[in-house]
Amino acid sequence: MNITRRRMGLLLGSSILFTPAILRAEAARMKAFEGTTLNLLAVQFGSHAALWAQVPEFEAATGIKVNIEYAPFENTREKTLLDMSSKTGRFDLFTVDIMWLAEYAAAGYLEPVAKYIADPELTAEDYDVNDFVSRVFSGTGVYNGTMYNVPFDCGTVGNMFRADWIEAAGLKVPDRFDGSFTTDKMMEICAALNDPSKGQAGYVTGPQRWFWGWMFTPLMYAFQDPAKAGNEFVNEAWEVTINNEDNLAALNFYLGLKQFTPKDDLNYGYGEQLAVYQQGKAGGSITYSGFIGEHYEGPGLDIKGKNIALHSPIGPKGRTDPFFGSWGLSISVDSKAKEAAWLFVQWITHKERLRKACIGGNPAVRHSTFQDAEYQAAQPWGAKLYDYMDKTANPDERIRVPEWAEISEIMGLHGNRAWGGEITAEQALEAMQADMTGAFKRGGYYRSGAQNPKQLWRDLSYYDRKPADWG
Amino acid sequence: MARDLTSVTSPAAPEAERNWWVHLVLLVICVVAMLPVVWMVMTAFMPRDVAKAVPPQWIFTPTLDAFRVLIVDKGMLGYLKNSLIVSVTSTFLSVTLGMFCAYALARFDFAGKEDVSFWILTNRMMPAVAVILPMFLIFKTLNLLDTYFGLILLYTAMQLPFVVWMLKGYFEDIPRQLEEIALVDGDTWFGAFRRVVLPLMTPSITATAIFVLILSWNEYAFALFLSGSTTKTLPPAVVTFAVNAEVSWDVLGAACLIITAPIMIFVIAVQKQFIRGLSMGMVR
Amino acid sequence: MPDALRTAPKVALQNRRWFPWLLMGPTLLILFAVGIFPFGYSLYLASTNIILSKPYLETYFVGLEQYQYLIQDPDFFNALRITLIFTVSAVFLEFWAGLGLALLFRRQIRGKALYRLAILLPMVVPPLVVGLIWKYMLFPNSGLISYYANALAGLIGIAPPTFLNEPGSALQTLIFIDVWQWTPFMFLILHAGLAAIPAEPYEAAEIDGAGAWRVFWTITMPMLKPAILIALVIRTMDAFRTYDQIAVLTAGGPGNSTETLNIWLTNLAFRFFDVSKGAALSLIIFVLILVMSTIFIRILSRTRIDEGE
Repeated sequence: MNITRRRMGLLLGSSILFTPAILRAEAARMKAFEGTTLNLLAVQFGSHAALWAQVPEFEAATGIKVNIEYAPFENTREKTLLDMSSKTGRFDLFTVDIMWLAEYAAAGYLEPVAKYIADPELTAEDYDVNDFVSRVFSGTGVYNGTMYNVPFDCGTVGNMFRADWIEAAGLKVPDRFDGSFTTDKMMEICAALNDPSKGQAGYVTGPQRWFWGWMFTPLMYAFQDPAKAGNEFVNEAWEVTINNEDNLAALNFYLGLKQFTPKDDLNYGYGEQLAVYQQGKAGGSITYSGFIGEHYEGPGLDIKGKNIALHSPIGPKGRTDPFFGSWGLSISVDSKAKEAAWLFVQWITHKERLRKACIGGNPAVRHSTFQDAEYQAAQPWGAKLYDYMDKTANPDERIRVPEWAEISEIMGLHGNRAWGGEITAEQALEAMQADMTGAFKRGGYYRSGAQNPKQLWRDLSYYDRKPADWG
Repeated sequence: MARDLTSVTSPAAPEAERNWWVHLVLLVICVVAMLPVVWMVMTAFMPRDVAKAVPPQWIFTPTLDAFRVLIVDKGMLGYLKNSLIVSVTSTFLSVTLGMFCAYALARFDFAGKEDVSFWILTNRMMPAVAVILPMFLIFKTLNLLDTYFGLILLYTAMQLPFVVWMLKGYFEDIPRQLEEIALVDGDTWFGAFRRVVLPLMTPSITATAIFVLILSWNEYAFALFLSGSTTKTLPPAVVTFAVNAEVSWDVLGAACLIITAPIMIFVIAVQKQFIRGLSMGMVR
Repeated sequence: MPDALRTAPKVALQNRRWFPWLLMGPTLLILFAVGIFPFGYSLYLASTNIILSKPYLETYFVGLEQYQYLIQDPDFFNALRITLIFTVSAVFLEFWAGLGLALLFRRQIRGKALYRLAILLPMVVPPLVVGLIWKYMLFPNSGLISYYANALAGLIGIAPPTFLNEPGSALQTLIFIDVWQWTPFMFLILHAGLAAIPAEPYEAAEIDGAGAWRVFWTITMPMLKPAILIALVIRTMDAFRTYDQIAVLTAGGPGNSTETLNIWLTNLAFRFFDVSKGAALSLIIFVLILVMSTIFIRILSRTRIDEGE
């Protein structure tokens, strides 16, 4: 870090010598909002620490004070929505999970940002918006044709396995995207690693009810018949289709893994399953790729360097799950300092800041970062996702509707009950179907003349538009 | 009032020597009561890898790393300051105001007295979650979000029913004649109250204040939504370190210790007054 | 101090009709200001169909439909059942444990003050921290309790206890933790109550030659009644609304086996932001607590009168 900073200083020093005029203009642009205070409500993630650590530099350069209030992930949405819906204007900026974008944007709580990007007074000349991976940029920020935020974190859900154990069991270690990690393969590996006599589970996951939205959804996609793709949750008429035979196969597969998981895992969340894996008591576990650096390959962990990061297993009908997760930075529509807020957004998501953050553990969202050698060395598992995030990932895997939070809660409640054996897989899907239908009904989807969102997941080329082309 | 109310022994109590089994029972109960607290304190001083080791480690070299993280990096002392300001002020206000109210309800007969006192109690019956949204809207309108004043006002209101109901019973137990004598001697009402009633009530008021302080110090739901970066108290702050994807147990332990220690030390220091004050009102 | 208070004639002031209202004024004013708006606002919310996160939906007056919807929801009865099981078992256990301890403390014991201090500790720990400590101690494999419980179960050759990971045991574990935290409170109040019982009735009973069992039921329990009722009212009201520990430890799971009314309310109001249903549910909870408290207070005031006679 020190070396990088010194090099930065050197670079800056030499540019002052050679290009004083441009720099003076740049300095004036940066000082335009001196004395302003910005308030940011940010989710508390270890992987974002290297990003926010650069904020003092921004404060020094602009004279803008940035207060960051951190909220644990569990409280982020409720705190954000309470503030937004009361129109307090207390926060100028919010970190927004892609799965909440539809909810916030549909309610009109977020400020469209395209006009700021286009404004040379507010956006650095070398901001290079087209350097953002198109699908990540559009997928994170666009709702109903309008751009609402700028991404700083993206990734996918996948499985972590103990490569050393797989080898010791005499199996070939699969690699991400080499096509060999299928649902059958996963079962085979889990069975091989499962050894209750040594207190060693083949696999561990988080069946607690709050986690099904991202832990089970990937399996639904993997099992879906490619011919029926797009109908995982609803059909084109917004009729709920979650109770279908492919999803039943997916749920049965997931419940089948239970024979290899710890016996008392019914209330395990992400934290519990991670700890069991870290303790060396499970051969495989589930994670979001953005967490790998901190939770699996972090300094001081016994499991560091012993893992293979895999995607969700390829389904029996050959489909690879396209899970897409991301975080963006949004400006509140009620902010009294929107331009200063944008100055911050474009500064912190600038190439150089993101590069630094990503070397320090933040997931990459820009082409330049993905291609950066230092980043590739620091997060090889992240670098490997470059092509996937650009071409395969489906930003609407968790369908982009304001009801998503409710849908994932419905899945979790009934899924968890099925995991505990209280109800069967069939009953769980039936209950999900009924409750989700109720949620859409309350959302007004079936009224005549209802203005329902477009089902953009049916044609992902929508999200491949270049960032600069969103007007 | 000469009896020592903190140690009451049954007249039929057996000799101390025959009580070995009592000691055994009490020891077991004390271990159950203390173990979680002791373990929390130990965890606070554990190095990070010891805190999550399997099996649990009882012997280790203590470190202050977790406290350094919390105090230097996370500014925990600021939250401690906010907690102190909010809970001490609201305790003072609710006990002072509630005391007069309780006195009036205990001493005077007036129409609607029972209704008033029951209405006061009903203020404690709404679930906190239900009150958050309306309070948030009022606070927003009056610009009270993230201010000490707002939190103090809310906590004062939250504790008043408890104070009134606790103290009402104690006031009822003080003989009316004592004040009447003072009044006949030429004292004003307030003089009689201050010189005669208040000294008798001090232990009970202290005990009530201790209760209220504990409740205010520990309050979480309102603080989570209505405080902000300048007034955040300890409980919502602790959650940011504790309820994350991967928990650093040593930091969690240290955070729990920082939030629990002040109130615990305080209660240990005043426990004699606490117990005597509580017993007072029961004597009738 | 206002002049009126200083110069008023000796007896006149406290005999003025407005005087008690003057004393109660500040309290009533604050409670009214802070209390009445949330209540009125909840009534209003419950009569509409507002979803806070969906301001674009048309809102209209729905009358009592939200209450009707909730009462017809099987989740309501599930939550009510769990809340009642939780409240009744926790308060029952806390009462008997607290009473037993308080009775133990009537004996001559060396180091009584030290024991008492140790027993009081759990009550002082913030409920949030209680949740966190127990979560840590029950954490899979590495937690203090789960590690030794697993080891012990392995030694005896039985299945290891499931604690928070099985619907039945999760509720029991939560009840146990509540008992751990709040028995000290019961103990404290009952201990204070016992301290207040005069010695004479016991002496009389001794002369009569009554056994310990009869003395307990005919003298101790009746004399302790006021303290018992205070302790029960406060604990029942609070146990009914328990939130922090449950939210941290299970958040209502597994399934909805620990979803109390208060947890369900939080889900409705702050996960789905269906604030209208949330408001209706909170008013239902309010009425339930109101009814319970009224019953308790009836009993309480009756005992007071009995005593006066």
